[in-house]
Amino acid sequence: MRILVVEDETGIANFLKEGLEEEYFAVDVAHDGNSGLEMALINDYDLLLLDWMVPGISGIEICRQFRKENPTVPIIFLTARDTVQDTVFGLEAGANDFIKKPFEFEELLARIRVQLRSAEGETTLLKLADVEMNLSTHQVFRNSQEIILTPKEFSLLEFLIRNKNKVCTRTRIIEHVWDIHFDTDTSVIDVYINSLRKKLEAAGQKNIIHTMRGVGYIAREKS
Amino acid sequence: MKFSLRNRIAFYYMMATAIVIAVLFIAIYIVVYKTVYHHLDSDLDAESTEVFNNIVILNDRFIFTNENEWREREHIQFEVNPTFIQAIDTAGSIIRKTPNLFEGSLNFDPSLRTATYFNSSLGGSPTRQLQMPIHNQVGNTLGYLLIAIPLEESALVLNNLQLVLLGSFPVIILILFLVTRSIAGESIRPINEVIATAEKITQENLEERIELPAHKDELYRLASTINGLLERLEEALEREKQFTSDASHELRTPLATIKGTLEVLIRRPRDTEHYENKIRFCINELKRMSDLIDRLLLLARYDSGKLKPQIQTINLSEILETVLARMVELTQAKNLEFQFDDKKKPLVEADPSMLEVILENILSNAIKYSHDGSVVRMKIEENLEETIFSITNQSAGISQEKSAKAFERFYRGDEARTSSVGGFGLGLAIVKKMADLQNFRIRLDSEEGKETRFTLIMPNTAS
Repeated sequence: MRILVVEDETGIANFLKEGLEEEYFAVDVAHDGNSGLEMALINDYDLLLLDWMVPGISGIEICRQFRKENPTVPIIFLTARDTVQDTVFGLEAGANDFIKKPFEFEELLARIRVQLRSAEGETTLLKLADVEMNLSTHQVFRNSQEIILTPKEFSLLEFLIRNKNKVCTRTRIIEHVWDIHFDTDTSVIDVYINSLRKKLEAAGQKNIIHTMRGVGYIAREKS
Repeated sequence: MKFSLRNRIAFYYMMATAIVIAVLFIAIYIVVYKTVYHHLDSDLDAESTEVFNNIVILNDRFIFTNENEWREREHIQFEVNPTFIQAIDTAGSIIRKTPNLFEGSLNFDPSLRTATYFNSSLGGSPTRQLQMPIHNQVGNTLGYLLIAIPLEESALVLNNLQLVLLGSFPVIILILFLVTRSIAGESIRPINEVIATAEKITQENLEERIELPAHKDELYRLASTINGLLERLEEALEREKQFTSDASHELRTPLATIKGTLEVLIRRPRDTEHYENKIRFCINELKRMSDLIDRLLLLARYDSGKLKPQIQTINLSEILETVLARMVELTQAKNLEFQFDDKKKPLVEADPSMLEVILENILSNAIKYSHDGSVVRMKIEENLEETIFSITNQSAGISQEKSAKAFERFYRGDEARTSSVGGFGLGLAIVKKMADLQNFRIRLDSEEGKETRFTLIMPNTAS
């Protein structure tokens, strides 16, 4: 899952990027409003974390303009402003949630997970057939047998299972699993898919990640 | 005694009018009085002329010639417009009198030697009387002629007039008071509206304004003056709010940074170097916070007026050198060249520690925003009253609109906000506050994209 952080305070931006990446998110950071809006509109993010007061166009303005293009991607505001009017103003501009500075990192994570909850309404558990993923402990089980994955493998599997029964193109996978610093050579996906399949089928189980030739991949129970 | 304004206006107006009306009434009474008596006296005059026409004066006595005259109706009857005539000799004994006097006689005053009109009475009724001496050819007094007419009706007229005037006076005054009071009340009603509106305005609805009256009169000015006052109050309060909000933002940001960094740090074990880096980072953030708190406290102390400048005569160049020495590292880091035109040793009236803070802020600003490797020029000029210190640096500069805002608390140019330059936006606010306290003037002139000049104008030592 890929997150855009728009935050001018480098200290805050740094720990957000670090902490979220440790939680297997792909994180991009913009330090001012203009580049933030540009990145939000160009790239395909799963969530935006916006600081209210940033140089250039404000967080609220990014929110408003982004909402015109994209009504669904969740937006969370990070702000030191805490009056009711500010909150109302932000929600009216299309924000989904508010977190007041200073905040608990765990709370931020929980709120991000709420916004990204699965189709079943789960925030930390993802399931497909007999494969279970725990997003907070980063554990994967198949038939109650733990499978050890690397962070990227985990993120890839998470993305595929979140979009189960839907075709995921290579481009979309790149966009949502890797951050902006990754060059767009999509062949690396095949490498990760292969190693994922190997780990998931180690005990001789059925394949759940299917290749759609020339398009991408799909995670589903039936073959 | 507390009178309302309307009662006071009505009272003063009533007093003034009462005096005018009183004078007018007295004048009316006097005129009527004079007219009435003039009329009576000329009647007496006419009668006396008639009597004298019928008197023949001899050497030692006088004789009435026309007997008919004494039998005229006015001399016989008593009821309607009677005229009483009586002639007496010098001893006061009656020679002749009209029949309507019956047994009575007119009063004679021997002290009156010439013709005199006076009020008298006859049988208890008031009369107007003329007493005239009768002289012979050589001027000896032979006797007196007394003529009287009743005064009753005239006295009645005058009495009635007096009654009407005295009676109507308080009524007129009372009516006047009530009318004035209601007019005054009507005309100060807008003031009451102003009061009512002003009373309703509190900190919560400070944006409300008093409705301006249609006419541009004193009330209009009152209302617009109050509105102006509210405007200034609102602005001050808004600035205060903005300041509090900015201050809390500035304090929360390093707090949030430290907290978040430590929370992420503790989530899993890391190597020593990682820990050291993060701790060092946090210490720096804490230092930044305590710097900010120091500055806020400084401003608060000057704002509250607890700290007063200790003005003394000091040498500007000396302080400047001290400050410059402290900035050597910064200057070298940016490879700046300082040009200082320092031929004079100007003395200024200032608080030394405040002047130091001012110069430090101005200089560090100049260094912060200067292009790397550029020249910073400083100049001290002097005229009779003032010493002018200016510092010019090559920088991106700021627009006029922004340079006006540069002295506001927590204002930072875009460049400063991206954190590459740092700072809280309090430096120039502190400079301004301290300059104000010492009666310095400050100016910021900037040519965008070229250079920025900061000027500090200080009063000279009074010689």
